[in-house]
Amino acid sequence: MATLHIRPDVVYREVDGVVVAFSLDSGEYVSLDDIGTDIWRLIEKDGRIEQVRAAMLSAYDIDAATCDEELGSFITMLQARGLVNVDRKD
Amino acid sequence: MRVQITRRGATIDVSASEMKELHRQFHEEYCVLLNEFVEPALLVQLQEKIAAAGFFDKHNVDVGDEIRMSSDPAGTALEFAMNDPALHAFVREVSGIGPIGAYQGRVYSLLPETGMMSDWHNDMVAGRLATMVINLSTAVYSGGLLQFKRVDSDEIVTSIHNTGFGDATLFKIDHTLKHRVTPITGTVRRTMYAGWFLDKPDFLTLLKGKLDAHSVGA
Repeated sequence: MATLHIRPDVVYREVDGVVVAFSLDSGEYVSLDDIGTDIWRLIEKDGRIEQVRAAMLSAYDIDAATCDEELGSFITMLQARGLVNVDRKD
Repeated sequence: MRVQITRRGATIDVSASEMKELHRQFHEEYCVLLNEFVEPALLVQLQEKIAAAGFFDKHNVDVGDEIRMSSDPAGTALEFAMNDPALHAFVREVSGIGPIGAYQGRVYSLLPETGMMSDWHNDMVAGRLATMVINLSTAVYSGGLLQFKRVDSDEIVTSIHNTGFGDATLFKIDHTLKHRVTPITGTVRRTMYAGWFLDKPDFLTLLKGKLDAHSVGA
């Protein structure tokens, strides 16, 4: 099972109710939307992708395929922006 | 007591009696020292970036010479961390200053065996409300004392050797006070993040101009 970890070189906090993150590696800010902020909180709490996926399916009125597609796309963006690492050894 | 900037925002945990003492120190000794102000895990990340960053010579008129870090993500991260509303509220409560729009600072070093220092000055430029200096040095430096005196006296009121890693000094500025930093006497450079809490600009407005919004599934 893969696990997401917020990178240690990322500084973040909530600004006006959404997460704003700054990567020391990329030197860029990223602002998440409401759903992205919810997912970020889930990653902070328990980064196992299965847990995040289950929490999303429970919280939002979406089917599994849509959830997988959107979560996958979001994780890809977080990785590309230097905000999270994916540990596939867990 | 815990006053700290962390990777996840500022943590402020100060009792009423501790706040009362900080307020007294600020007004009677003109400064307060905040131990481990930068979370150690964040400090390590910042120090790694600063070690790899470029610095340029900077002469501050009537004050002295320093080397200043060029634009770098470490400076941006510090600025983001220092502009946390919880920290601003803490600083206002300790100091009694008016509303803070932003904290703006720069990373600089004083090098040993160069005579680099800051002579007596007062930081008084329009809009500056209070000064904060954070020790980002990676080893304990000698000399480099931050000292305060009143303009009508030569007596040193307070002398601070801020050598604790990630420790910060918050201090008062006004026209009746001056401060200086003495030369480095050993072989270790003194690296600080120094700047001011300002009445403007508004950091949130500046930040929103820099944000690159991303949505889930985008």
